[in-house]
Amino acid sequence: MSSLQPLYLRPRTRADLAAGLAAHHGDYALLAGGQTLVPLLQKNPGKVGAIIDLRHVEGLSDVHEGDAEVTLGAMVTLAEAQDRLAPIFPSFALALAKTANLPVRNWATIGGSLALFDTASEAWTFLHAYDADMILLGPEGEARRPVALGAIPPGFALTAIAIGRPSPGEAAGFAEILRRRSGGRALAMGFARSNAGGQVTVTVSGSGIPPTRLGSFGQIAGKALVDSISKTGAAPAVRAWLLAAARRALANLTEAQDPS
Amino acid sequence: MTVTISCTVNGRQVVLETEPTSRLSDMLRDDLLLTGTNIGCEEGVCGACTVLVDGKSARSCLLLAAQCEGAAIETVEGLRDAGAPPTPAQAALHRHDAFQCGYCTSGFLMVIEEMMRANRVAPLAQAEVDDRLTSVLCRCTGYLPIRRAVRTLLDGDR
Repeated sequence: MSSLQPLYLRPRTRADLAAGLAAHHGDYALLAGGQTLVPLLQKNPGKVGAIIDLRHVEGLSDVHEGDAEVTLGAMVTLAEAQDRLAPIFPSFALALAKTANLPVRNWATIGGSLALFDTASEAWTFLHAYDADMILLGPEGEARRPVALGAIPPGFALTAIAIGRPSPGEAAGFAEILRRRSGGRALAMGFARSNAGGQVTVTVSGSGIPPTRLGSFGQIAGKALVDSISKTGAAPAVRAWLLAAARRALANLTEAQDPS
Repeated sequence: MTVTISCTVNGRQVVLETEPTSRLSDMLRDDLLLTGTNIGCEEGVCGACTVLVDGKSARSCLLLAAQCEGAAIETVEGLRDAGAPPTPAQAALHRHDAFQCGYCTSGFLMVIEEMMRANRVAPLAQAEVDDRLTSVLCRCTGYLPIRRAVRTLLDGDR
């Protein structure tokens, strides 16, 4: 047996999980679906003292559809989220359908996808666009933290994500720019949301640019959109991809508002 | 440091000790000698190592064996008994010349098995079939014979 092997913990309760986090002082890897972590563990043996498997922790796969918000347990898989959220957030379901492939979506989790804070993540971009909150378990129990604040502090585990329900009359459009039509890592993506008053917000990300809210526009977001993307600090080629993603998201938003 | 895993593989109860970072593909091939699950890229891209875990397709190179505690795992060896005639999926792939080197075929068979189960609940549209087939890489056939085989199989299975 290798001496580089970490401890493997299977907490069953949140209290056990919190104890595991505290006991290993940041020297751990949280194992959700494993779709990113497992290859990293193979490439970097001996880097962590413990693997904390979240699969058996009670309640982390629950979905709660409340009147004001939808709460997704961190261990809800992307495939489940795609099915459950389609009636409420169709543009996100569409985005999830473009994430990797079914065998990966069957195991990759919404929490794991967010926790990586990868700029090519559909989950992060959507959750940022919808002002979602993370529910984090730490030494003092659970607390909310806006997704917009970014990375999860050491010593905390993401247990759920709360997303406010769309307001009446709201519509959304999603688009992403891929190097190949068959898929792969997105170069850029955009979510466009409109409220009942016709104001539109566009959030873009990709190629090293974290999800960025471009501001509020009217339905025709011409020069203002270009100017907003210029302020992201992205390289010229990336700006072109972000602009294309934003424009396509706006076009898909228009189609969602008037499918005829 | 080892971890104990208790699960079923092709309906048979298995209990074994493994290293915490051993992958499911390692457990299947090295510990259980189920070498029908092929290993290609080892980073979740090629799909050759696809198996079913709790009825859902999974890249066995992207799961730790320890994650499968309590799970029901199905591999290509579980699709038919040794010596039995080919399954309808195997026969369809054969009839349509849907493999050449065959390295990806066990992955395709598991994806097709998942599709057949889903198709019995609600028919799968061709776009959905195509999307699922792209989860396994084939560099011999160009996919068209696989696509034809699967469509024929799904249409005849309902």
